[in-house]
Amino acid sequence: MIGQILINGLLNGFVYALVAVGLSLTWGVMDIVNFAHGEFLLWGMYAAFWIWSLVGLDPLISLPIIVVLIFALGVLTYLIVIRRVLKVSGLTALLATFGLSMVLKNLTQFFWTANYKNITNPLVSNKSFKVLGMYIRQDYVVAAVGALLLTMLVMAFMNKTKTGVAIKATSMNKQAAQLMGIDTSRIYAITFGLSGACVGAAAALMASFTPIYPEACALYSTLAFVIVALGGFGNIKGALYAGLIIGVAEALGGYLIGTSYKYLVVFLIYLIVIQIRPRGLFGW
Amino acid sequence: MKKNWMKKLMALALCGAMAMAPCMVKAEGEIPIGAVLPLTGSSTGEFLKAAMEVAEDIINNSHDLDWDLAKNEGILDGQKVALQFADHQASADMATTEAAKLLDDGVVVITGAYNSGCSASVATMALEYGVPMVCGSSSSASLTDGTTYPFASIFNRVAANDAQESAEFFEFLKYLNEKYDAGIEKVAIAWINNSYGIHADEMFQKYAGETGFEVVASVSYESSATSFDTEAAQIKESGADVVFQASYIGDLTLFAQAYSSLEFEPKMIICYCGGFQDASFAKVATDLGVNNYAGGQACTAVLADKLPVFSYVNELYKAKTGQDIDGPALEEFASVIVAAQAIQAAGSTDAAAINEVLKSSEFEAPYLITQKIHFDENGQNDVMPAVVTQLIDGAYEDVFPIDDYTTSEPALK
Repeated sequence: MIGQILINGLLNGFVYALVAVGLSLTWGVMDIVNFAHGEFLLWGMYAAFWIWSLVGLDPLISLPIIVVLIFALGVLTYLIVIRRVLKVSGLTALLATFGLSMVLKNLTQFFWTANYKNITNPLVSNKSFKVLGMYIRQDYVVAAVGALLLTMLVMAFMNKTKTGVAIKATSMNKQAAQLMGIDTSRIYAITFGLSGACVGAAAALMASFTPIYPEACALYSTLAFVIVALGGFGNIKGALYAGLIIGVAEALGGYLIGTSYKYLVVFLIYLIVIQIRPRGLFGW
Repeated sequence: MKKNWMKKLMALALCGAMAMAPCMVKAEGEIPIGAVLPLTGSSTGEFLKAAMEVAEDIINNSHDLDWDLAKNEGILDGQKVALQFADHQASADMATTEAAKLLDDGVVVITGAYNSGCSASVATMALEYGVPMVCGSSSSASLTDGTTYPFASIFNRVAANDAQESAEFFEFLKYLNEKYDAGIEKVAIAWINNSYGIHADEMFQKYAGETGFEVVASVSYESSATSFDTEAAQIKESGADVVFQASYIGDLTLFAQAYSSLEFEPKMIICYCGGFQDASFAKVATDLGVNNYAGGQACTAVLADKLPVFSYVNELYKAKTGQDIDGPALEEFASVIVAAQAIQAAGSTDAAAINEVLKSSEFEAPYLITQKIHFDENGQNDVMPAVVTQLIDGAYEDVFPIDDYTTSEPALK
C-alpha cells in the first residue's frame, strides 16, 4: 500500500514540477510574481479540450500546438500587461498579473461556461499496469515522463543556448546584460513565452485525466508557488526536486495523517523550509 | 486630455447602468420570486437556472398539458411570475448578501440554493424578513431536523434529505442481499469535507449501524485536491463491498478514474445526489465501462413514457440545455412550481399567507414519480421524493423500490 501511495505521489510530482518550472522562470529570472500562471495552465487545458473536441486530436498529439499557443499568450502578456509596468516600482507588476488572472478566469467562464469538460477515450487511458503489486496508471506515467523530458529540455535550453545564457545573464544583472548588448526587453518577452510554453505542455499532459472547468487549476497554481519557493527561485532543477517532494508529501501525508489534511503537510514543509533556508532547498 | 477620457468613461458607465436598469426592476403586475444559485464557478448553476426558467415558462404561458397550472397563463388571475436570480458562487457569506438584496427588492418567496450551507444562509435571511423559502435540491438532513437551525417556520425542501436517502439506500442493500444473494457486509464512504459531505457521513454511519452493515472506512477529502488516488487506495484497502460517495461532479469523476485504475470494482457505488445526478457523469461511467454507480434521483429520463408531464418538462429543458433534466434540476424546477402553487392557493402575495399554505397543503406534482409534494412541520418533503437509479450502459435506470416505475433489475458486480 505504501508503495502504491509513493508511486502515485512521485508521478504527480513530475507534473507539479513542470507547472512550477514555468513559474520559476518568471519569478526567479524576472522577479515578477505571475498570479495568472494558473490561468495560463487553464487556457492550455481548454486549448487541449477544444482541439480534441473540434479536430479530434488527442492532447498528446496537439501538445506542440498548445505549447505554441500558450507561448504566444505569455509573450502577449509581457508586451501588453507587464512591459509598461516594469518601470514602475513597488507592487504594480504583481497587481497587474493579479488583474490579468481575474480577467482570464472571467473570460474562461464567459466563453466556455462553468460546465465540466472531459476528454473521453484519450490516446493513453487511465488503465494501469501492475509492477510488484502496485497499480501504475498509464496516463500518469506518460505525463510524468513527458514532464521530466520537457523539464530537462528547458534546463538544456537555459544552459546550452545563447538565448538561455542571455536569460540567466539578465536575471543576474539586468544593466550589465544590457551593456553586453543583450536586448533585455526581448529576453523578458521570451522568458514569459517560455514560462507559458511550460504550462502549455503541462496542460496538454494533464488534460486527459483532469476535469476541465474554470476553477480546475487553482490548487496547481498555489502548489507551483510553494514548489518554486521550496526549490529556490529561478532554479529549474530545484523546482523539479521540490515538485517531487511536494507530490510525495501530499500523498504520504494524506495516507498517514488523513486525506483531509494532505495539503497541511505540504504547507507545513514549506513553512519549515523557508525558516531554515529562506532561499529554498536548492537556492543559492 | 486625461480628464476628457475620464468623462467619456463615466458617461459610458452611466449609459451601461441605465441600460441594465430594466433587467433589475420587475415589471408592473409581476410576482417576484427570488432564486439564489451558484451561477458562477459551478457547472451546475446554469442547469438549475434553466430548469427554473422552464418552470417560469410553464406557469406564465399556456401549455397543452392535463395540468391546470400549465394550461392557464399566470397565477392570481393572469399575473406572471418573474424569477430574480442571484449568484452566491458557492459561498455561504455571498448567499447571505445576495438573499438580503433579493428580499430587500421584495421577492415574495425565495428559492435555491443548491449547496446546503448556502441554503442555510438564505433561509436565515428569509426568516429575518418573514418570507417563505422553498429549497429545491439541498440534501443535508440538518436543514430540516428542526434543531440545528431556527428557520423551520419558513423553510420547505423538495429534495430527499440524506437521512431519507440513507434509509432508502440501506433498504436497497438489504434487498440486494435477499433477492440476489449479493453478500454485501462491509461498506465504506468517501465524502467531501463540507456541510453536504459531513451530514451524508453522519447519516451513513447511523443507518449502517441500524441495519447491521459494517463500516470499514470513512474517508474525507477537500474538493480542491488535484487527485484522489490516495483516497481511492484507502477505500480499496478497506475491503468494502459497497462504497458510498458524497461527491460533486469534478471529484466524483476523479474518484471514478482512480477506482478504475486500481481495478477496484465494488459491488455497487452509491452516491448521495451531487455529481452522480449530473448528466455528464453518465459519459464518464460509460467511458470507463462501469455499470456499478447508483444514487437517488427525483425522476429519470427513461420514465418519460410513463410520466407525460415529466416528459414535456424534459423536452423544454433539453431544448435549453441540450441534455436530459437531472435530479437537482428537477427539484429546483419543482421549487418554483410549488412557490407558484402556494401563491395561487394563498390568493395573494402576502408572505404569511403563502407560508401558511406551504405548511398545510399538499401540492400536485405530476412531473414526479410520487405525483405530490407535502412538507412536514420542519419543512421536509415527507413524500419520499427519490428512487434509486443505477447508471446501466449510460442510462439512469430506476432499480428500487420495486413498483410500476421500476425500469431495470440492478446490475451487480
